[in-house]
Amino acid sequence: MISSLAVELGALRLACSSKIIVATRNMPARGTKPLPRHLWDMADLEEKTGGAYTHKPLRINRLGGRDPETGRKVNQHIGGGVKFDYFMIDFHRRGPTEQGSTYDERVLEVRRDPNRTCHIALCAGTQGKRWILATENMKAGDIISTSGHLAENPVIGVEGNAYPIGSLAAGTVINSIERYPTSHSETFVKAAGMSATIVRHQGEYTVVKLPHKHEFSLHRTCMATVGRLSHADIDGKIFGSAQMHRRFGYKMSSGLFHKKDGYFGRKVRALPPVRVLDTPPQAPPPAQRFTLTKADLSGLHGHAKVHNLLPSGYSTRDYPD
Amino acid sequence: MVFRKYRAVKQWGKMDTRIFKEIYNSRNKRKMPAFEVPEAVKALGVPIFEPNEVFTQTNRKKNIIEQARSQAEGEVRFAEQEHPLQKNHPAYIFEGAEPMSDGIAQAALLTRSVVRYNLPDTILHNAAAKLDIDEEMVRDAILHGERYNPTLEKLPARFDPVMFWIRHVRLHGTPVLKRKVNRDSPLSVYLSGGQYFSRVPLVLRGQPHLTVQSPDSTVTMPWAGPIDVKAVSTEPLPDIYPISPIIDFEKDTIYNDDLLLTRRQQKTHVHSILWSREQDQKYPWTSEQNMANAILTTYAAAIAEATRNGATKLEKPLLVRGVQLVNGRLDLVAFQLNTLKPTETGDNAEKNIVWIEKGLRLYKPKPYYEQMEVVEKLDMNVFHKFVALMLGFGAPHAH
Repeated sequence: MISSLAVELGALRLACSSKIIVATRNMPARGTKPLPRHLWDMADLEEKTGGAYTHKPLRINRLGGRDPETGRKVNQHIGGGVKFDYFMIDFHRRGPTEQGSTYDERVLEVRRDPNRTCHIALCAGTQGKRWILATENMKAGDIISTSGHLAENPVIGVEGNAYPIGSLAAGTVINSIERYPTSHSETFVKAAGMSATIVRHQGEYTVVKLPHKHEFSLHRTCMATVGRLSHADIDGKIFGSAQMHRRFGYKMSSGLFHKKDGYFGRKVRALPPVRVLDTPPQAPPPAQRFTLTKADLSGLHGHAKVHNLLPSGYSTRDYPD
Repeated sequence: MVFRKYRAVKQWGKMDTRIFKEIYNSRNKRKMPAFEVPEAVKALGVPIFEPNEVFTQTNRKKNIIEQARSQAEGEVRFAEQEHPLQKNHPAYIFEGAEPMSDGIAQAALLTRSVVRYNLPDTILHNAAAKLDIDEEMVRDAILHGERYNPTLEKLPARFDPVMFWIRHVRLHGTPVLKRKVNRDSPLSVYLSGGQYFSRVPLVLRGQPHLTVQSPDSTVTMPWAGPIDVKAVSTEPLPDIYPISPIIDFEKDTIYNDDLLLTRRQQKTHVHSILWSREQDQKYPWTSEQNMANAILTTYAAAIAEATRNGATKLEKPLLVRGVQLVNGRLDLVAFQLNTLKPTETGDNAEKNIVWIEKGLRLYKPKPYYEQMEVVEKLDMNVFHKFVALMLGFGAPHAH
């Protein structure tokens, strides 16, 4: 009956003189989210160091695009290659929160890192040595400092120094930005030549414009390093040959050429609204595993308890002859 | 189509098992929401125990006591004693495994010494040290280590920084460090107190290939007399801010804080220690870092010489020589120990003196995977400097 009603309505609309053609053209569907890249086994590295930080080069265990849990291939065209040494990077530069006091370090060495695009810098201070991502003009012998103090007036940051984003002036170019004010959160802006900009401060939060122009509102105590990341000319560099590409663990794709259709290419989309990162993602509760005994399964406790065999199906019937 | 009578499925096939298992697994994977303590219960302030661990101790006050204990102990954590000889304090360990971040300045600060960058002229142009040694003899001596050595051990994997993907053939031959049991005697000294080592002591360890000792005490005669020593005490120690000089030491538990020196019971004096270092193929040390290593190891030998009979005070200054060979380059150190006191924040009056000659190229070495046939680019001037260091004995009456 409903369908017949609809047909009637459609007929009415057709009969209507002032015809409205409603045409909405949607953007092509967004692609799926990129898969996690399983290049090297971070769990293995953590096991080797016992969870502690070390500046010493570590031997990586290459995963070849396979999930370390299941061992199944996840990433195409990843595999093989030479095992490079891995340098642990300290992304969370935390310093004293008192006004005027800083944690100073000297840059001992700036070198390239085969496991990431931007250069890395070895810094030494009173607490020890650590590797950080090198900014554009960082060189050996530089003194860099870290301050956790939230300044009342915006600070013009010095390149290589780390500040809470809340105390930096709008327009400051920053990198290695913590997503949440915790010492284990992920960081934004880690690739060579990349940088983010501080847009404005709003109460407890600071809006930061990332290299892909999306704006994020982060807590103002999140730490960031001032400056643009080094090795910006990596785009101009080439592997030279497919074979060299292969030595680094990336394999050529192969297969029939498919012409790209209209869904490929650049989409002119409006920027999304500012995304507020206020609560850090909670780790899922650990899976519980337990086994119930036969007594528990029967559900008969106390004076209701009977012989264990009874809930298992035993009956007192006489066996037939 | 053929007419078929209806027939009930009477067999439970393997596909059914698979399907059942999938359903079963997916049901098991379904997560229950984690239990949250209701706000009303929290407001009551009653202790909440983990339901599965009601009877275990983790829910009891022990946790709080543990927290308080670890808080009280602060930074210096007492190690759990697992062995009767284990000391309950950790110690900084220097074993020459980690390069000194700030090189010579850091070593000078740690050893409380003033650095002189060349050997003194009186030592260099010492007539007694002008020995008539034939160049061929020196070449032969080098080839004794490089070529005539019949060792056939598995050599380390070769790393080529340019063609990093090549897997080189593993060769057998003489390793860069040729170990001999009767020669490489261990050396270990224990230091505590001062600005850096009052809470956590420092243990300096080494295994010099040769320890030259002599019953004659003139071998440890200082080069600088009392006037020079006094003059040196006004010079400041290097400032290596913001680096802390102790960041390159490993922190570990120790079992023995005694002095370890070969023939320490006999009435001999350490003339010099000589050893060689193998450079890492991927991460070679700089000449500064090599020199810092040489200074610290020679300092250990000097401390060992000063405290070999259980002495805690230095009666008169003494001098110990150190020779380090890295890739055919010599690092010469003459360490004059004027004080046993470690570095203090305020009081730094007395200072040691260290004369150094950094990275002197004695000969051109071959990489470890090649056989040296003839000694190339032998520098006899460097050899004479080495002889001058070894045979340069102080004359304290001269000052």
